Amino acid sequence: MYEIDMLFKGFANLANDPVTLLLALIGVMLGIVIGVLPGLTATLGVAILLPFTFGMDPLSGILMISGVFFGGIYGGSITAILLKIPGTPAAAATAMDGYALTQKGKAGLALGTATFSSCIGGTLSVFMLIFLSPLLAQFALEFSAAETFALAIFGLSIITSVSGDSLIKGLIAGFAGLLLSTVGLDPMSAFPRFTGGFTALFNVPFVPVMIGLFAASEAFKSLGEEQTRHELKVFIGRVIPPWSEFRGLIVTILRSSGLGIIVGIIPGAGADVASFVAYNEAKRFSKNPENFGKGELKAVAACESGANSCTGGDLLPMLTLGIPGDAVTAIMLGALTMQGLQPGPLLFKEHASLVFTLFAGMLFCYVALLVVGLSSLRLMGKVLEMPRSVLSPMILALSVVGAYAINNSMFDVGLMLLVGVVGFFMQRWEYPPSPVVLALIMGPMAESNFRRALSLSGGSFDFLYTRPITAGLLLIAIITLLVPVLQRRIHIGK
Amino acid sequence: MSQPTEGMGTETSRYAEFIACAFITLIAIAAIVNSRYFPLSGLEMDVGPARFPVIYAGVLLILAAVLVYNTLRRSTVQKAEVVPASSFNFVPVVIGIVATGIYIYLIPLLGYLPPTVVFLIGMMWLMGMRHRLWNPVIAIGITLFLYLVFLFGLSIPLPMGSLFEIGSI
Repeated sequence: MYEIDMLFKGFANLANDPVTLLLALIGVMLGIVIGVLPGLTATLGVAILLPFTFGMDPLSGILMISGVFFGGIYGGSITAILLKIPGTPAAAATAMDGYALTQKGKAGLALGTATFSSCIGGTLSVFMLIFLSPLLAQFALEFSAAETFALAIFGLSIITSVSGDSLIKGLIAGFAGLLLSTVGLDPMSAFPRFTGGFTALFNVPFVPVMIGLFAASEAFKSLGEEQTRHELKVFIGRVIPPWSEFRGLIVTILRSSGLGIIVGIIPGAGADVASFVAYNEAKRFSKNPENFGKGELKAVAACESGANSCTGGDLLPMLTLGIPGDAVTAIMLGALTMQGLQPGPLLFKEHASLVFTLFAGMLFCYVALLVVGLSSLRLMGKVLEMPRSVLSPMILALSVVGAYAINNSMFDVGLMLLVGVVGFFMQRWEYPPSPVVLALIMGPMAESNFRRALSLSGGSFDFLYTRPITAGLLLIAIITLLVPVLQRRIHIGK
Repeated sequence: MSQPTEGMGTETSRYAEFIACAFITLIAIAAIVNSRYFPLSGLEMDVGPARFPVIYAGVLLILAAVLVYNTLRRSTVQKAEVVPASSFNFVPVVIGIVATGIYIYLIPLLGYLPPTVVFLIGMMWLMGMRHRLWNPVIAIGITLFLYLVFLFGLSIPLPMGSLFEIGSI
């Protein structure tokens, strides 16, 4: 079978590249640390790390970022279990039963179960990625400008799903991002739009914007918050769950992983949604649903396998179609582009060896996550005690250096600061940043392909409804756009 | 995950909504006005470089108007929800932003190393860590670590500073 054959070749490539494996391992470790620290998310970790990967070869860079992504999702569970503080939004569901287990003196068991479940869920999702992505990429090869435009609109329709509490504010953030995406050279006539005479704005640098929006804004926010220091005084005990206990969790882990993969593929739905869906289903299937919320190990297994199995699903549309489902994959898409690789169907055709080596590396990342996770659980208590008064200045210094490093340009650093300030006010006034990122990526794709399709059709808008794939994608986009709106209406109605 | 709607319904949050809407409106109008000076496309079937920015800016104007309407309606129809005041302090944020601006301004002049050390010491101090020994030690450690990683690990030399470059000539 082609996929298996290519995967083995990928493993062989990796075996000959110990530096890449080491960087992937470092990525996983960094991701876990970032996930453990409350307030820091996988998105922030990926944004900060992005400039560091610029000087690396594409495989090492992307694998390191993947390691941070996977580790970041998992790391959040550690503080959720030990302190009832979800390190990441995805760990909020884990906190309910995980902390109850800690109070019962079973912190080690909960942490071990979370680690094994994360590893199994994540590994299964990478296998799904390996087998489904070539098929999807093959299908997407048929796409012309009209279909690509519809795909971009579908990508943009996700904005309503990632809008948070206020749909209007999410849409404003999205359209502000779309307007921002028009800054630079016009895709058809190369006329400079809104550049103010700055040649640096002919192609708006993506990375400084990301760093400002996710890292600098977070650091500014923490300057105004009351500084709390977490101290860990918990008995951890045995970490590896006994087989008798773990056997009873296998079905829950497999079911939750399946759910997480499906949730992950749906653009806009991330690990937080997957963990809650998995939690609900585990409770529904349980013979003792009344134990949920009071320290049920199955709940921890369900949440963690669900959240981590989302990662592969998240990567599927990004790698095969070039549409990111959330902010992390949007930044990863930026990282691939920065490395000279254009995500989409051609990636599988022109760089198949690299893609499958990347998949093999992702499987390695999950094994590394298991080993690092189990062996460092006691050490994480120390990480947790790291004061924000050191962490936030460090994030700011990293943001400045990172923004500079991409083009050796102080203009980019200034842009990062400006976006950081805007990002801070967006956070304070509850404007979600994710729609801006999606719009920055999908905006130029939508505009250039629409105009190309319009020129090819001789100025007629027929291509919007006469081409089946285009019409189908636009229909899905309308549904994706309207479902959250209707859900909110129903919710308000209740 | 959604964060709690801190301060929602209070006078301050309503003013914040209006300021944000005014800012968005200003940007959208500026974009529309500026787009009028864009040339027509040379391609006969193309909509031109101004069409998409104008559409986006137009939708932004509508959305800003809807947000203002919702905010006004909330304040007149509903009683303002009483939410406990948060412990957020804007003063350190403003100082931090200004300090970051000055730091960025100084890098091309003094190079990466001296401003970064001073910036880190100052920011740690601002956030409540005020140790005569540890602040400089941590600041120098972080600065050197980043400098060496970029220089040797990624082959990206960080700025040396124009003043020092002139001095060396």
